[in-house]
Amino acid sequence: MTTELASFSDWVLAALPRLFIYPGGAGLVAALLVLRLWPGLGPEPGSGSVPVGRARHMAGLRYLPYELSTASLPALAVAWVGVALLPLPGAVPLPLPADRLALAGVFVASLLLEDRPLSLDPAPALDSVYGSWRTYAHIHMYALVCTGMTLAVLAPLAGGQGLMMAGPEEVGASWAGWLAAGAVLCGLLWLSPLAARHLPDGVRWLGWLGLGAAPVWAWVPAPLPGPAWVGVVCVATIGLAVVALRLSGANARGLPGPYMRTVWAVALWVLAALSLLAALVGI
Amino acid sequence: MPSGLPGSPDRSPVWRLWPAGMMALAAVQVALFAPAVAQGRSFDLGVWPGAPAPFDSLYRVDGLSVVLGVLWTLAAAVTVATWAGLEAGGVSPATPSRACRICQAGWPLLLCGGLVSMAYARHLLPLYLGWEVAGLAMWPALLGAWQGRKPAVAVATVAVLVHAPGVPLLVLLFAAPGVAGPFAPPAGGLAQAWSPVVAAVLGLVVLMRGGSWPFDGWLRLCAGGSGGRLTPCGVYALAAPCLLAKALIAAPWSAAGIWVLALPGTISLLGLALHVGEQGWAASSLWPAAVVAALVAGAMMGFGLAGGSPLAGAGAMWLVVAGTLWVLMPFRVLLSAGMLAGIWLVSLGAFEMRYGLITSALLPSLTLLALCTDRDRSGSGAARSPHRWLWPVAVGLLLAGIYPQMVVEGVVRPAVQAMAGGVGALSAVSTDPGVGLLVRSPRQVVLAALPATGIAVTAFIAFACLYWLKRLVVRLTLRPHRLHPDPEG
Repeated sequence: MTTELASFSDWVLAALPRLFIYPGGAGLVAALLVLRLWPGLGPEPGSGSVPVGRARHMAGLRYLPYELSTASLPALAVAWVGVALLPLPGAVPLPLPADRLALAGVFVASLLLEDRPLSLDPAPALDSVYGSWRTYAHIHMYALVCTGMTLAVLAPLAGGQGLMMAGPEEVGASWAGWLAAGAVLCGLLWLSPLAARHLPDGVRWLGWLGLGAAPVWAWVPAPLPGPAWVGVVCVATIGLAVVALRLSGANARGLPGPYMRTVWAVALWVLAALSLLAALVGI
Repeated sequence: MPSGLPGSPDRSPVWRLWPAGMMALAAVQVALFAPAVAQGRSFDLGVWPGAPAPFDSLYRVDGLSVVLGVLWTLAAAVTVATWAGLEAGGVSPATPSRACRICQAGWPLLLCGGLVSMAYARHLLPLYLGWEVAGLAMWPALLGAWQGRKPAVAVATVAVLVHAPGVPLLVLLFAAPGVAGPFAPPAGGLAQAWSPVVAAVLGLVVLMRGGSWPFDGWLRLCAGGSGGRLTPCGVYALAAPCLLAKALIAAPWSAAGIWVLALPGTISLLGLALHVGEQGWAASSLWPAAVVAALVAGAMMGFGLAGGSPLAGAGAMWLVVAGTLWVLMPFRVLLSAGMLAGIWLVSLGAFEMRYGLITSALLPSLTLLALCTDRDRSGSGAARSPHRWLWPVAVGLLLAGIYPQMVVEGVVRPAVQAMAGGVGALSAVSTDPGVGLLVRSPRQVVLAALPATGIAVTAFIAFACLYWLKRLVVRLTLRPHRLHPDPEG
């Protein structure tokens, strides 16, 4: 077996546990299930003959199969691979870890592979269940936020000597990394209602979280294994998003108003720009 | 017969005997030849006992021959059985003549005989003639399918596209300088290298007879004339890549011949992809024709690239893709035969596996993604315009899959070197063909890595899992009346 073939085989074999167990696979499914507990999903209160409480209960989980059947599989698959390759604590090390640029590119590729513009609801039948989020996710605003997220996760690279700043050691020690994490958090708040309603968006949401929270991954508490720490951070971020939405006056569907959406988008871009600046000046 | 086609008298016992006889023939081949072949032996067969040269060794039994012989015999049996039950597509004449009946009833013999002759042919001439005989078998069946319509154009199209291109090939086999002649024995004997001219003509003939783009008119015509099914025509078209396999053994390819043969296959496959992308899969009756054409073009690439070329194995991946497409086609009867052929051919290509097998996984994966996605879209009914901007990307990825070093040296390396601040000493920029680009600092610390090939393969694995999971979910949980779930719970 030639050297290149052997190295390729080693890489793919090391990627498979990541793809099917952790962080992809079982770990990803668990995170998606938690994300599906988002408040505001379910039929309109009082509509129909079904008791409101039962109809709204676990609506995000119940409609998961239908969303899978309508999702863009290439976009979902690429986003899944992106999550699987994230440099998270406790994951099987790759012989050649993917750099931050490649990981960001994977999520951008997933966005490009979406065969339905976000301005069109991929599941009109679920509109009454999930709320009219067509009006929420205007395609231009959505593209703006995703571009800002890409800038945020790539900004720390400007201060380094290479592209391999995906690891917690490089990113966590800098202001640029923390500013980028803040920018990503703002973007996650904006995207969270979509992530709870659209499967590829949910996977990409977790991917952005994994990339943006690189400084946090460096602080793994001693008693916790790596995957548990990642789970704690993930649940905490979802809880933070829920609380932020409550405080920002989200409607019964869990959709924030236009004012808060604009604030989060602006904060995302400002923090990303600051992160880039901090990386360039080397702090 | 309304109930059937001329030549497909489903009430006639002979139409029940044909498939049974062919299956018995397949069993006889296995019983007679398999033990010897399993022991690594091969031997010649004469046209008749005690025949003079060269008729004493026109055919040869070896591993490839037995596999193809059994496979095609079974394919012919399935074809005849399917044709006998075909009801759509034609109107039976009130009183067909006896000669017409005999002719139409005899086409299974031509089909099976021609294919088996191809399978066991040792020389180029019986190989070619066997293909012609199998082609003759299409005519009675096609005439039956087109009866009551206007077959003139269709018949002329098929005649020109199927039979005419074989004439220059025949002339070349007899008269081309450097070619040992139509009775040249296989490699190891008096084998000769194929010149680029012969390879180009053979490639053209294979493309035409295989119904590949842009010569797919006749195959689509046949698919439409037979109610959207490929019967003798499909088997005939499928024989095209197998002819290449036999020709490859009969005469090794020169390096130039390899490239000449691979080029039209590549162009045809890309053209077919573009054509399908523009038309969509809306015309479901054309699915089999498009799949067969893709299989032929892919196999052509495969055999063209598998002969000791540094790109060896790339064609095997195309065969994997083409074989996978068989799973998606509605005419599942031929599925097993096609898949068996694909598996065997892939294993053949694996012996010649090189770097190309790895790198060329990129584009076939994406092609499959595109085709599956496109098919899913067409399933929704409305014809949609495809993402035209994706096709240049697909072409670029094809080039990247065939020659990745070009991308690394021409695009990635200059881009990395041009990065502000640099990512390492210029001399430290190196490539690792197994995983992509590596950039090392003077301290030998990996600073950048782009394992694009590995990511692409992993994405393909993920897509395959999601594809089957989606099908499983749709089948198990989303019953037809629940495709649009009731929001009331």
